[in-house]
Amino acid sequence: MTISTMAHDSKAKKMLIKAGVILLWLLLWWLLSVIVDSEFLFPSPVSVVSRLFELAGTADFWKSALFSLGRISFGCVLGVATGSLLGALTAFSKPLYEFLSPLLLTVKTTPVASFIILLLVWVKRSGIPIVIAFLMVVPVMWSNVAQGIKNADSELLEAAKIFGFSRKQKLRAIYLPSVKPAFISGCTTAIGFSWKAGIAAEVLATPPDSVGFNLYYAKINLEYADLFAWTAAVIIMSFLLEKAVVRLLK
Amino acid sequence: MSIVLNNISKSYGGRQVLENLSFEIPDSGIFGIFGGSGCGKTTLIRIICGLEKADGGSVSGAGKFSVVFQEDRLMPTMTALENVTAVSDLETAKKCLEKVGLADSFGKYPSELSGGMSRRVAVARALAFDAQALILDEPFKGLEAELKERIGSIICEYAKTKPVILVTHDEYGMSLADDSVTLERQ
Repeated sequence: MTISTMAHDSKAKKMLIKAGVILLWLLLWWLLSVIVDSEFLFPSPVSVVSRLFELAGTADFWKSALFSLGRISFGCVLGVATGSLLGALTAFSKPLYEFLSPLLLTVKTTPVASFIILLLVWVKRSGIPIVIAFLMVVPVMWSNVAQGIKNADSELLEAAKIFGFSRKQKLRAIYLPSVKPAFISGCTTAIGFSWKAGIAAEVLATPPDSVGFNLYYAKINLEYADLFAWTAAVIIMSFLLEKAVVRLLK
Repeated sequence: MSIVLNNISKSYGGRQVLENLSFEIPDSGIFGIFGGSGCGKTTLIRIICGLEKADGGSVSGAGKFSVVFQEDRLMPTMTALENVTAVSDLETAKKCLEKVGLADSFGKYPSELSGGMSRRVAVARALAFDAQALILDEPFKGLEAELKERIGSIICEYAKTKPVILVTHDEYGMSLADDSVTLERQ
């Protein structure tokens, strides 16, 4: 057996295990729905999937999904850029770190609901998910990038000093390779955070044409199959986005 | 230009590593710094090349050193040739890699090189860098006898015009020194 075939087999085995685990959870969900015995309170996976397909057949679904995706992604991208820049600046400047760290701590520890309620007063409804996604992503990227820079190999930095490397050379040869894994892991976490917080912001701010708006109305109209279907749509979009971004960055 | 060390002292956490060390390294030739483990050889060369400050005393003479560190310290994202061109022009880099017997490994990354090959890239990089003096910390580590002699003769050639400071435990390496100092553990 060649090495490439073995690697292929191991990948196939891993995928099989993952699929098995997902099936097992779906089975547990189905069992629970049988026990609860109320499609209204706890819809089965079959009814949720069929509702999701029904929704996916409407233009409104795609409009809401794309608007939410656009808003949250925009906030996330802005947060990644700002957080990375702040992380880089504060890693190299202790006074700047001392000055900005209370701000970072405040943003990190303030409940997202407090931000959303404050923003309801200050920002247009459709802008709130953007700001919330931004605020959730900045601290994550900030700490990850700063840590990546601080973890740069000190022995290589000494070699760079001896051989008179320029800033550009140090950046390319030492800092970027050190920051890259932290940046990718930060982006993965950031996508998850921005989706969770962004959708929560949409639920509270109810901007028209948004997933959060639909979740909110599914809740007040007691359409739990819709609630589950929209939630499933959010999970699928977040998963696909995360996979796409990680593939792009790697 | 000779290098003069005057009353160099250094301690770490209360332990005196170097105490009032004074000697002169001539402006050419190979100067050996020998001694057992933990006697302060690496600390001394770090002070000489300016990576560490002495608690007392001074170093005067050459200001720009080229170094082969005890670890290879090659940039992992650069090929062998890129590691050397990072400190010199392309022509010099190619010549130095050819000298150490790596003409066929220009495009290889450090992760694709054996221990001995990485060591030779580190030597090539140090040779290619335009400095006033060369410091070598265990340059023969991981090299076979034939390669040791090859590197040894390159070092001797370099030492004709500039000072070379050689730290080694290797018997062959020690035999190359024109003059030396032996440090003792404090």
